[in-house]
Amino acid sequence: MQAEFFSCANVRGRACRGQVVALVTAKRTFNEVLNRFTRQLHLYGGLFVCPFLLILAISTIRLNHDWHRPPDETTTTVALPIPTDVLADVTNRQVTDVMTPEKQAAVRQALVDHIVTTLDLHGEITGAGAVRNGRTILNVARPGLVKRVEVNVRTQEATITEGRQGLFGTMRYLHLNPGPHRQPQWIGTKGWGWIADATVYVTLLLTLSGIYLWMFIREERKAGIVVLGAGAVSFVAILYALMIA
Amino acid sequence: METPRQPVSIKKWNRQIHIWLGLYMLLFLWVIAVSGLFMNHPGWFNAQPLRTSVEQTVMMPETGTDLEKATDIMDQLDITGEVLIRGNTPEGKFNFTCVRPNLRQFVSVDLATFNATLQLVDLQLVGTLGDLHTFTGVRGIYREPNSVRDWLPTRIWSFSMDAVAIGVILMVLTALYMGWQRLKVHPVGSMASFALGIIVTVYFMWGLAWLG
Repeated sequence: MQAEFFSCANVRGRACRGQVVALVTAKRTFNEVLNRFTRQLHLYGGLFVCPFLLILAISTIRLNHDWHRPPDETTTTVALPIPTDVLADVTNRQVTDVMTPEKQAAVRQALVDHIVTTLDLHGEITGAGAVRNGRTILNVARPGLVKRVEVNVRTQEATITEGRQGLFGTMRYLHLNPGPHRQPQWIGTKGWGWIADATVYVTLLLTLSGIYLWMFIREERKAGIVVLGAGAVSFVAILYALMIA
Repeated sequence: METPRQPVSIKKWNRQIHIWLGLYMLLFLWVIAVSGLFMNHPGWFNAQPLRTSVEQTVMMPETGTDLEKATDIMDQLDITGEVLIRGNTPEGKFNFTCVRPNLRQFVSVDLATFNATLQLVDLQLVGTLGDLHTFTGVRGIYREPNSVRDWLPTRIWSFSMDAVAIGVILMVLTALYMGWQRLKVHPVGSMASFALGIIVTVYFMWGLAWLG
């Protein structure tokens, strides 16, 4: 195609000139379409992730300074009847001592399931259902609301401490979850995990599309290169100080 | 004849701030975004940290705070980093941890023999990225009785994280202004994408607590 182009340039025939014009026009049209598409993608993607970025940025400042207000707590105690067979499996040492670890986990899970169903608990549940000194503890967390459920299997009562996290506490929760140590079980945490992942992907896309769009703004090019360079130099200098020096 | 210079419009300033902030923070944003993604998916990588251990005799300082003693021992061991001193040190030992985003340095000094054991844990690339994401020097998870940022690079990195967070907030505000300006050109797409973001945010911020 390149050879054809040069032969055309040499011949300077009218047909060839027409082909060149068509090529240039096609290239210009392609660039315009790509530019418009990138601009729209940048605009729509940016507007979509705006609220998530705000949540993450505000909570970053608070996490960075370990500013954390304990949640407002209320405690209630309710009756929690536990079926004898479920209870026997987790409290009778003669039974539990001969169980395999898998069987132990299964019977403890049955106790957890019973507590969760009876008390109608929804959220990310932590607590394996192990009974020590006649008590087992579960934590049930949702954005904005954390419940600590302490079950006394002897008196068959559950003490529920409910903590309301407030606006900043909820942002903090969303920033920290799912997180490296909390593999999500609850659909709500999984859903937020997908949104957090999407925020990362869209942010990366926004940076790339932003660079592409910036390159087409002639009057911002020189200043932009200086700013980009300054950012890169400060980033590398800080990393050098943190990891090598 | 030379015309007087026109004042730069808010629109132009807004766009410039958006572009300059974005370009300045580019590498910071990439590291924070990618490390955040990796932290959400610890199962993607299975890079085990590399552990090594060395022993050396040190001079135990007799006076000073625990932080001053730790800094003195670090000088003798020729290591640097953020010092973490947890409250529960076993009797007869002086233990502390010196952390950098790519390296954990556990120091244990036997107070009877003045023999210092230095355990080095190299976190590898993925671990380092995760640590950069959380490297503030004052995390509650460290369980330090008196948590302070005692290493200059920690303070600089922590300041950078604040600056990036404020930069992101400014990027969002300038983006919203530009979105508002472009509302006449792309009314449906702009409104739909922004509304979708708001609805999802409201659902996760308040909806899950109310509905569940």
